[in-house]
Amino acid sequence: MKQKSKLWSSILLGACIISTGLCSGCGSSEEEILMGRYAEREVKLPGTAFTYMHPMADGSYYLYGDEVALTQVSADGESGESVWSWENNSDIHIKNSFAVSDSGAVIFGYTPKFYSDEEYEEFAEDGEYRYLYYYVDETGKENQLALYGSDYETAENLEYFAFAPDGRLYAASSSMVYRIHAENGEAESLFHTNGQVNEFAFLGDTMIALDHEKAYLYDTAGDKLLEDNSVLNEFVTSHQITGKSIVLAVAEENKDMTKVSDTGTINTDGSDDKTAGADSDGDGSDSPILYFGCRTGLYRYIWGGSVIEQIADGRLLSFGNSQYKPLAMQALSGGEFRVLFSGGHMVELYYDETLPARPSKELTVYSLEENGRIRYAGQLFQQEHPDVIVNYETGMDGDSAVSKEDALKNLNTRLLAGEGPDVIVLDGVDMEQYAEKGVLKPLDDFIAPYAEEGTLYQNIAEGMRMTEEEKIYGIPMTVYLPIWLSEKQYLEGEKSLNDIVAGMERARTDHPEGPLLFTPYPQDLLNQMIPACLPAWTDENGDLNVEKLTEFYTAMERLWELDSAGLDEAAREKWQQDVAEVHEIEDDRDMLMATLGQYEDHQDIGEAWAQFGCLLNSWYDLKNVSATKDIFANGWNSKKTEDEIMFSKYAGQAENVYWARTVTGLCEQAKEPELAEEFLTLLLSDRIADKWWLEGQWYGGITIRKDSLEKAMDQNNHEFAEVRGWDAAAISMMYSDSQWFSEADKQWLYQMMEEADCRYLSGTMLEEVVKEAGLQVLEGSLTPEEGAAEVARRMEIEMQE
Amino acid sequence: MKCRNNPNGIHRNRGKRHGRNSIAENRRLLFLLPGLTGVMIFYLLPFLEVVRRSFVKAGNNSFVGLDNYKAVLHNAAFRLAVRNTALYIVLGVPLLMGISLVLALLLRRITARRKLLSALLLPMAVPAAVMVLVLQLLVDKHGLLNGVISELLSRTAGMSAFYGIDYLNSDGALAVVLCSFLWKNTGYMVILWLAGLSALPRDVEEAAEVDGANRWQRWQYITMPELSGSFFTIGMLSVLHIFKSYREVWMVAGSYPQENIYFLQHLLQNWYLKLEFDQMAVLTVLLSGILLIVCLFLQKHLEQGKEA
Repeated sequence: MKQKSKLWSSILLGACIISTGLCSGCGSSEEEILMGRYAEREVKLPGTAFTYMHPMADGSYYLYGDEVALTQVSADGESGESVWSWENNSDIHIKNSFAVSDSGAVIFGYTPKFYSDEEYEEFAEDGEYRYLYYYVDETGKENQLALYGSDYETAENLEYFAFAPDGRLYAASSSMVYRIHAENGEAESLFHTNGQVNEFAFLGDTMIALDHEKAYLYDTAGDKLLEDNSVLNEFVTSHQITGKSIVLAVAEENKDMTKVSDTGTINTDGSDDKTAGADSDGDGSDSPILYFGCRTGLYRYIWGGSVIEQIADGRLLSFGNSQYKPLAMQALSGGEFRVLFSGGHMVELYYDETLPARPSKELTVYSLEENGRIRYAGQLFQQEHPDVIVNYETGMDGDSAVSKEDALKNLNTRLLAGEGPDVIVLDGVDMEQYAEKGVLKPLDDFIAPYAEEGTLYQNIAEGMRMTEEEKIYGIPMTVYLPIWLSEKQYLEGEKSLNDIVAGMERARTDHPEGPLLFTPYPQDLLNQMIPACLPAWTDENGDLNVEKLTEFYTAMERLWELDSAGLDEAAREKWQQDVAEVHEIEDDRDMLMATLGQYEDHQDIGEAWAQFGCLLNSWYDLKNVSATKDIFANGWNSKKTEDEIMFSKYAGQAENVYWARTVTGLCEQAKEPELAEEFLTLLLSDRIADKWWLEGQWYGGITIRKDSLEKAMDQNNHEFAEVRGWDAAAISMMYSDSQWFSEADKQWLYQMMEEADCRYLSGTMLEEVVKEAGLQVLEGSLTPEEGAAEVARRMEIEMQE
Repeated sequence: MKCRNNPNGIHRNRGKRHGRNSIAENRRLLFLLPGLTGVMIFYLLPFLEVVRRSFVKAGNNSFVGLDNYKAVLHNAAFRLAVRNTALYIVLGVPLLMGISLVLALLLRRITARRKLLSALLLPMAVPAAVMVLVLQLLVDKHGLLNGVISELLSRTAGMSAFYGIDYLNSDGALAVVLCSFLWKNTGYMVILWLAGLSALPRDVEEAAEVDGANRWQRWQYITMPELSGSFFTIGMLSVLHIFKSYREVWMVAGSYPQENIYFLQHLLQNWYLKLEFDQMAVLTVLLSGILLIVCLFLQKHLEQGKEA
């Protein structure tokens, strides 16, 4: 019996050893590195406002944008700007849709410019109006197109036009696709759609039209809707996320195009073709190919096939960059592609056989919320390090419903498991806690060379010292500075929170009607005031100063009373509704228009805070000057145009406060520590800072790089310095003369940057508790003393923990 | 006779029986093996890892001996949470068991109790979010309770403005939480008690009644001892429900509620967000130890009761 057992044991042991050996053998064999993948090169465009590309079969293309002329670019990149008379037609106000044909015919929908209220009312009865359409044929003959058709009469506006290669014109409303007969204006209904078609492609006589959930196939020769293609529909459903997310390109002949082999590599010579398409003989030369570009990458579909294959990973290309939205794609010879993205970003995709198919290293960058600067830096880092894949993760994806607390728990779980990121953006994260727990790597050595060279505002970096060791664990890329904008007489010489209250008291006496601050909700007031006061509420040991907090609540209570005294409840409610409506708008243009409209309604109020570090302002009674949140220069220049208006540095309860933004640290447990440091170096480089300042993407605060700030201030960019306002009848927007900063202005800003040494980090527990209790104070449920006591009580447990 | 012919026969038979038993035992173990393996892999091994972490510093994993335990035991928030949780259990469990038992005894005598039972179970079906909303509507500073008091005061004492109390931020917060806990769980416990009561032998009780035992004596000497099994089960379930009621407390009062309703779960939750993994490990080990001791004590007590 025992012998039997021993025998079985030996057999089992032997089997284990053999299988282990075999398994280990699998891993020990030399790993074959697959080579070849798509890379991209940027195409420099003359401006950033191009929003439309019409690709042509010979590789040339047309470019167009609202504020740039229609431009034809040859296949080798030579561009020639064509000036069309319609571009200077002063009656055309806003173009809503645009298309150009291979032969140069143009069509667009537009809304006209109105010169009086009556004109507008006549045009937009009950607020509903139909676009007007303008057509220019290939000979240059222009005329307004009066469309008609049996189904068209009751249809909605045509939002999308496309010319087929044969010159025929198609258009789509939100529920119908039409063929437009430009010669007589007939809109011939072709088929109904479930949503707005936003992309057309033409493959021979077949038109492919994409809406948000399916691909409609239409035989333009036989004039009939073809049977659904489930492969295409499935792809569209899963990749058309919001609005237009997919671009299409067609290659009629397959022979030059790429082939994906069974090993996942792509060949450009047509060999080793084992595609899952309909190409039965395997040479890939029979069927045309449809290419899809979307957030997740580049895909191809061999016409009639059963699968759509991914041929490029979006994360390694601009497709994966959430800042860019694909607008149009062109298939070129040799398996190359040209893609136009939003923001005037154009790239050419080419297949590089020298690059490994999958990068061998991975750099993980984490932030709680999407951060454009980090996304852009990741993209740049990726381009410069082909052997690295930058995996940018956000804890609270905009599409998901993950709360901040859940996101932090997920992050902590990863850290606990040793699977933390390499680089971490600490906005909204309790940085001090992470530093104390050894999650973050001290950056003192990293920052030392910058200090020696004087590249950064060192006072800002020094202000980030924390924990008992007094080390730097995170560096902000930008800062906001608390600045007030108000009438001189009310806030000149302001030195404390009480001065602000006193100033507003005077303002209320002078102006009994209307609100004083641009704070529709009570939380807006708290949000504006907390940054410049919060650092004063705790001492060196982290103990809460209840007296200071009571003083803060007392001031807030009084400011809210003063603000509410000039605005009845109904008016405030209306104002809040307007704000809510603006926030619900997703489209940028509509958002801008609605925001401006809102300021028109409340133009004697002012606005909350400007992006350029103006944390706070009281823009009282600044008539006829609109202020959008993203136009810093408006406010700035209003100083020039309105003598009584002034900017002033805001000293709340704390002095020299800066709001640290995009605070970035390195994880102690980083798997790629050297790459992480390189990434941080890139983030702090002038290439990133300048990009944000010199190319118009200047939201997000003031750079902490001295040279970049100086470059920005010296650029004398009138485009930024434009002042927008409403004309007397508040009908059209007007643009006044622009002025750039004076030397005194610049020095004022530099000095503030030099003095800023008191950090404010948002999203701390204290801030949340103060806001919660503060709302009760402003609503009258708690007195300032009770509010402060409530904060103290809750913070006591937090401190004890 | 077999014994005479083979005096060792008995022993041999015994040996065979013993062998058969051991085979059966081994088979039982074999059947248990998958389950035990699962418990080992998914519970015991992770728990051992938690025990290990309770002796190391979070972050750098350096061994710190009992420092983490000392830190936790000296932590004021921990002591507050332990005190509140203990008080909640000490008050909540007996109250829940007592009230539900009394209701069960009353319902036992009602013939048409089925309809009432359904009504009693309704609070269990109410989603936590709804319950929280109802609770806020009731006990908020501007809630229904204060509204009623305000109305009463204005009618009786002529007081026109009564701003009331924010009960969840007052010393009465624990009472509010206790009431909501009782409201939600009493019905279910009544069902359990009724199940236990229905299993009691009626004839014994009737015989005692014939013998002249009064109601209290019958309760003391027949019903109570017979209900000891149900008592243990319902007691354990009550403790579990008390721990589960944290969800509602958190939803209604957040991570930092009034200090009387700051429980151990709040502490664990907040420590997790603050990366206090070492202290969390200590707390888990301590809690597990306490629960183990309580379970063993109750089990032993129950076995002794059965033997008696």
